[in-house]
Amino acid sequence: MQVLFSGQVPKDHAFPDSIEDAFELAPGRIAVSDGASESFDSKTWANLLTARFVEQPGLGASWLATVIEGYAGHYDVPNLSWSKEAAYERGSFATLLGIEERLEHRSIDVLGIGDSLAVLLDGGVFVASFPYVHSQEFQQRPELLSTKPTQNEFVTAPDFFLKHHRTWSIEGIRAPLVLCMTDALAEWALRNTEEGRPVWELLADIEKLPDFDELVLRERQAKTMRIDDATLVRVSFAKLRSDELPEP
Amino acid sequence: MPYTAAIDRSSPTAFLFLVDQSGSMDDKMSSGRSKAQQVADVLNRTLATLVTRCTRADGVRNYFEIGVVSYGGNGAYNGFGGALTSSILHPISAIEASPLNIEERKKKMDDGAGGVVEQSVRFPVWFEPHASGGTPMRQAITKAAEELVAWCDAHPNSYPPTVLHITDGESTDGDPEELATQLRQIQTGDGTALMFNLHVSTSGASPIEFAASESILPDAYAKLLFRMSSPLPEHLIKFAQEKGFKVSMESRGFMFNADAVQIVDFFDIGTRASQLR
Repeated sequence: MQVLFSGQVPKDHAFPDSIEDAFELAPGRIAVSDGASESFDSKTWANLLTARFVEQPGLGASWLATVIEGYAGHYDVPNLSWSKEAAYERGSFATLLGIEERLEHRSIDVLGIGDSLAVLLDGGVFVASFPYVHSQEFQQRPELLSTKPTQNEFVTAPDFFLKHHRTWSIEGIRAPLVLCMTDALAEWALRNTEEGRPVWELLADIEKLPDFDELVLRERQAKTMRIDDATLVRVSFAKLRSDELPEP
Repeated sequence: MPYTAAIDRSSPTAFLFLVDQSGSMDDKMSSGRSKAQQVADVLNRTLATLVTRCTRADGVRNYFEIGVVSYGGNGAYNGFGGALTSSILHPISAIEASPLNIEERKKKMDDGAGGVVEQSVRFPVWFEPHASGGTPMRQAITKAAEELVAWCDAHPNSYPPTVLHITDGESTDGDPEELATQLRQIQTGDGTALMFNLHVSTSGASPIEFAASESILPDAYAKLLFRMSSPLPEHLIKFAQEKGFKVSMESRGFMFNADAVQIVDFFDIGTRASQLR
């Protein structure tokens, strides 16, 4: 697995530090999270979720409890103002998109909670996407991971694995690439493809942050991309040739 | 498309509450509390919810500007007291900083293990119940319109302001329809101001929620308030449907014979402007 590009464009350039998307990269693992705007501190929550996933990807009730405990440790709740206490009690919410490489099976495991999207490409050609396939699906209210345990009951539901996991075989794919995107960018990409203007080659060719920034700003200006934080991570899962292998 | 402007700190939106404080607001509702008390309680809770929606770990973001115009025996006047008397509309951070007092209340909460626990919560109070005199609705709408003209001039690209009007009786200073029509013509680049009307009643008659036509309404007063109300924008139709209301593209932001439950829903739906960023 080789990370070819990773970058973010904030929703408001006047407040670049307020970006609420997070991503984390580690050998064989990638995590992307989009913190919901109406949250007390979704930036911290998204950062904790992605950090935990790349460290230990087995999401479950106890996994979440550990992350929630880490989140709670950031605040001295009894000493918060009335409004911060109320906002804290309301909770923070975020998506989680997790990618794990299965070298032995030539496959990729994808965990998808919420509306952050993974797309499998063969070079610049679309192969599959998860958890959404159609741009219209972004209109629905996504299931999100919350700092309030009572709102995470879907994680222990019997159909959780079925609904939120996919395994993609990359055997036979010449140039396997995975794009990880947060919702505004992902919705734009799926919609353009549906309307006969696939953008996969364009996204597969982005090399530098200014190029990504320019694309997002241009589409926002044309009102073809919703104004929101945008994150893109592009990873190649191509087999290395023998001359590219690291020295033993 | 109107009513789609994203709300951010550079382009906030405004909510202006227009609250009838005439003498009849002292009548008791089914809850045993007066209409004035019930409305004040829901308004305070709505203000707290709006503040909470804008509060982040690093502070309160000014996504909204909020004002209250009350009307009754003393004409139409600023409904806020204390530090908020200087003007009608205030950024939400100023509202957060200036409640009249903060009460301790008990709230039943899910304990996460199938039980219920009682927890103390702080309940800020900005608005106190009051009931006296007549119903100078024209004065109130005129005052609201003056505020909104200035606000829209200063925020030409914002999601337009929303007026939530709560009343229990007919105007005592003349027909308010024409003024309401003029108020609904005040606009930003994202659409015309929204005016939603709620009629509070102690009659026990069945409430009418988000009517789509005048013809189903029981009397001339209900029909007048219907005509004074804006059609619900698409995202509010969707939100009302999610809450279980039967609404259509023709539905207006209008409730008649509302009891306590409808007051809560009216405020909740009326303050769901498009998405915050």
